[in-house]
Amino acid sequence: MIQQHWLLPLLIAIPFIGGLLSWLSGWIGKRIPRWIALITMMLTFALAIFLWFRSVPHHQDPLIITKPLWLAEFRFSWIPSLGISYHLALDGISLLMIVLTAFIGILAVTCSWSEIQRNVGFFKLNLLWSLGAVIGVFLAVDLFLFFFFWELMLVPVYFLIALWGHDRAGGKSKENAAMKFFIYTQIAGLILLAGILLLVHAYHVQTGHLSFNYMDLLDTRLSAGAELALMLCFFIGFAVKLPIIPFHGWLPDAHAQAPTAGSVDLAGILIKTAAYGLLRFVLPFFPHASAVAAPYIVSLGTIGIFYAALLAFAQSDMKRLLAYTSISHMGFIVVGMYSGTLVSLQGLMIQMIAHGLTSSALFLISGQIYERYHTRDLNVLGGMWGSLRLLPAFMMFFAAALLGMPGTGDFIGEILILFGTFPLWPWLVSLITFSMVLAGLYALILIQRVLFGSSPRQVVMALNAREILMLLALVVLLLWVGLAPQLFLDTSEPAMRWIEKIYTPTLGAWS
Amino acid sequence: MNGLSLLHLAPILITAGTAVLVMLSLAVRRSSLIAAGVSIIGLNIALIMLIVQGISPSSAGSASDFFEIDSFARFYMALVLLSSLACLTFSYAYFKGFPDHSQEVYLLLLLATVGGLMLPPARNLPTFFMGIELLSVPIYPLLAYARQSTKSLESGFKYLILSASASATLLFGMAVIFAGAGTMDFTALGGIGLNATYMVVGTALIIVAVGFKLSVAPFHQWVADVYQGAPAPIVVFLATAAKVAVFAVVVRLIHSIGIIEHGKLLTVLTSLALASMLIGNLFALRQRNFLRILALSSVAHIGYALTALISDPEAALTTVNFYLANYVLTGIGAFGAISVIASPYKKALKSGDPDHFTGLFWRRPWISIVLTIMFLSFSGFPMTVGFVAKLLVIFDAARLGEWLLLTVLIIGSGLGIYYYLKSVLLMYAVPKHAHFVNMRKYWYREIDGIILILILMFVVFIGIWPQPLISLSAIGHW
Repeated sequence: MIQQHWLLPLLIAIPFIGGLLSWLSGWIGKRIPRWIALITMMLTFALAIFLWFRSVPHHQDPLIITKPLWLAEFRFSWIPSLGISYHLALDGISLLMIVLTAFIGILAVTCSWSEIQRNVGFFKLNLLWSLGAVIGVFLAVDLFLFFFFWELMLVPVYFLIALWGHDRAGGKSKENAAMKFFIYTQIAGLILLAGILLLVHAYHVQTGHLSFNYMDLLDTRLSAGAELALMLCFFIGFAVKLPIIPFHGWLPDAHAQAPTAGSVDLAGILIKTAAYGLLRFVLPFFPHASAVAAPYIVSLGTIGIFYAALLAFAQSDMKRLLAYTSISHMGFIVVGMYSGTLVSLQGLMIQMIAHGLTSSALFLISGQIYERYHTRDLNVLGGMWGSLRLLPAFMMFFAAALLGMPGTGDFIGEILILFGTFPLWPWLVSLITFSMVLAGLYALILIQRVLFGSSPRQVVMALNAREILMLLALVVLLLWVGLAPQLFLDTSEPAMRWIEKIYTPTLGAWS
Repeated sequence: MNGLSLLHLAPILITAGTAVLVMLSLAVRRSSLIAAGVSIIGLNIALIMLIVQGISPSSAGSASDFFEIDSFARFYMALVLLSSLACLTFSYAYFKGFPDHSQEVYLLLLLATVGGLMLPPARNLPTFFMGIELLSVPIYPLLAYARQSTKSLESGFKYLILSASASATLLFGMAVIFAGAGTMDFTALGGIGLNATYMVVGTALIIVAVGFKLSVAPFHQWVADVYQGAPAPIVVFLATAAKVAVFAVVVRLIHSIGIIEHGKLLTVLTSLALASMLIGNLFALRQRNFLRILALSSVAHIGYALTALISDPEAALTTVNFYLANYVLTGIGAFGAISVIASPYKKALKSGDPDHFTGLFWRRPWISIVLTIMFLSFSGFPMTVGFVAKLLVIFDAARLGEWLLLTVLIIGSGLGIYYYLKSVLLMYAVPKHAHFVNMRKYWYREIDGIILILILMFVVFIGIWPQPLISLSAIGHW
């Protein structure tokens, strides 16, 4: 008998309803949708925090863990003849991600307060629906439902970029960037769907029972070849969104041409859903195939770290630079995930949270700079140090966080990943450590180009209270994660223990 | 035939009677309201009788040598009636501004509906032929009805010539079979099987003819032009009822004669399905006119339905029924939305022109949403009925190990997503220039708008909770 936890569907429903109300009220005026959206996301955040405090983690004996234990569940039979149910479940990982999503949702709504002037209601609808779908992705444990939310996540982001984005001067338009994003992710989604259907089919052939449920499908026994094929289907589906080199082509364009809220949403949350998908589905369903492929995937991740860091250094558009740093940080996540030790998995969790906060902060700052100077070109900007009350200080802090300064959450994440991977692949870790130098390079070049150098001509507005509040909240959170991460680590530990138990990577050439 | 059998035939008789009533009413007084009203009331009565018979337990049973009104027949007769009702409603709104008499539209539609109703219960070749003729012939003048526009005339003419040739081929095939077998009854023909040459030849000719009517590739060349030129509400009927009725009788014929077991003819059927899925989706990629896109995508959808048929050798028919029900619903929605946008009739007949749809969301948001959801349902987006239908077909094909059909289906769907989304996103684009004729603002207060919204709710509702329709489809077999 499952205890129906009604808070879970509520967490998904509130952003959707809020978005709808925003759109409808948009015809009345510009102010009301903003407030409705803000209240909606704050409510979602409050509910997520409430859920966090109420959840009592199971302390699992590592020897007898066979299936994940959920903190809360909600199940509703939906299409019985296809074995599909509306099944939501929460564990430590999804809880932390949902809290992060709700918080970033608040940020996204707040940062687009004055930036968006046209069709404000529809903008908030797209933003909120994207966030609602993301929460759905984190909660769904029925593969059909997961795929539905996965697809639903992408459509509003397309509109955010295509309708409210910025055109590139002398280059391609925002519609092109949006279409590129859409086609990449749609094709990946189709491959993912093929993987899902084949997995369900395999389970059906094996047991005669048609089911899309996560707990049932964990029991599927696959031959080595089939497992590898299916793992690749799922992996490619998620790898495009993470993104892993060479599927990263959509991210820089999407970020460069998205509005600020879109970038915050994209970098803060959307790419984390891919990491979550890998953790939740690829590793548990296909542990042996993942183990075999681990050395190669980790190599791709490492290449990503270096390649993206170098490209970030070479950018002249601030947002493209940040986009490439995102790809670089996601490379860390790949390495942490496929080494499969508890320490690295926990590091991965912290890295996801910290990177979400850091990149959101930096995109916020770039948005604020763009609102004032109407350019993001690093060659043109400069000399902001001393003007713009507090913006340079915040920027310096977050740039330090970006390169992994101790005291911030990024440091904890990266160090834990490296510590956790070292026993398996010492050579690899030694190599990756050099990437910290590159991280320092791109962070410092960002600061140098924007804050120092010759000062620009015009005098612009200082940061207003709303903007300072957002950035301050991010500073506090980042410091909290950096100095006292134990709370977060405790929440995700049971789930990570289970993943550690079922997945042991092959050592391969790097050891 | 005894009294009970007449009751079984009631939907057909009522529809025919309504046609006569409309004819009489035209003689008394020419009024679109009266003609449309009588037609709609009559069709509703027929539909209610159909449903009542379907529910009551003592209902199955052949009415005669010509008809077999079982639950399979009732399922498809219901689809035909629904489609016809929708078409009539859309026609009423569309022909309001028509410069000539438009009451004959209702009459012709009713006659075509009678033909369509005759096809699903048909159990021998003459009924098959009568049904197809009665279905097709009234459509010729319907397609050409907007005779002020050359495109409409062209559409009617093209369909006339091709359809007549197809009917001739059909007749020839039937003649060959009769000459060899000496019987026209499906069940008796099933007893003979496909071993004799005359049976194979005759069946092949029948498949060709039916291929034209169903616009299966490679007999699909006419769809794009015909759908583009015709008055928009007529396309609703042509694309949904006409196809589904023919498909129903073909299903019965195929399973009676045993084509699924026959190696060579099964290969033919599979090739037709593959060709339709590929050609339909590939050619739709190059189209810009919305009606042409939908026309070619309907070729692909018949391909998917054929895949469902091939993957179902025991004739459980749940998937086929569900897929065709989904096709009818979404087709009525999509073509109906285009019809609503094009209503009332304007002399510059350019329905489906992409200029009308560019940036439609910013002018008329709700109809854009309707059309978006219909397109998404056609493309198989989750939470719409189209997705569930496709999923069922995929599962059936996988269960049978039809990997080639499955791969082509997935590739076709992938292509489909591209052009459907391109069209959808066109509606949300900010228009660069204003070449459109703006549609009426309060379309949702008029009858065709109301029906359209009803269809939309069905598409979404069944997409979220498809179990009832799946159960209903499971009943529809013999």
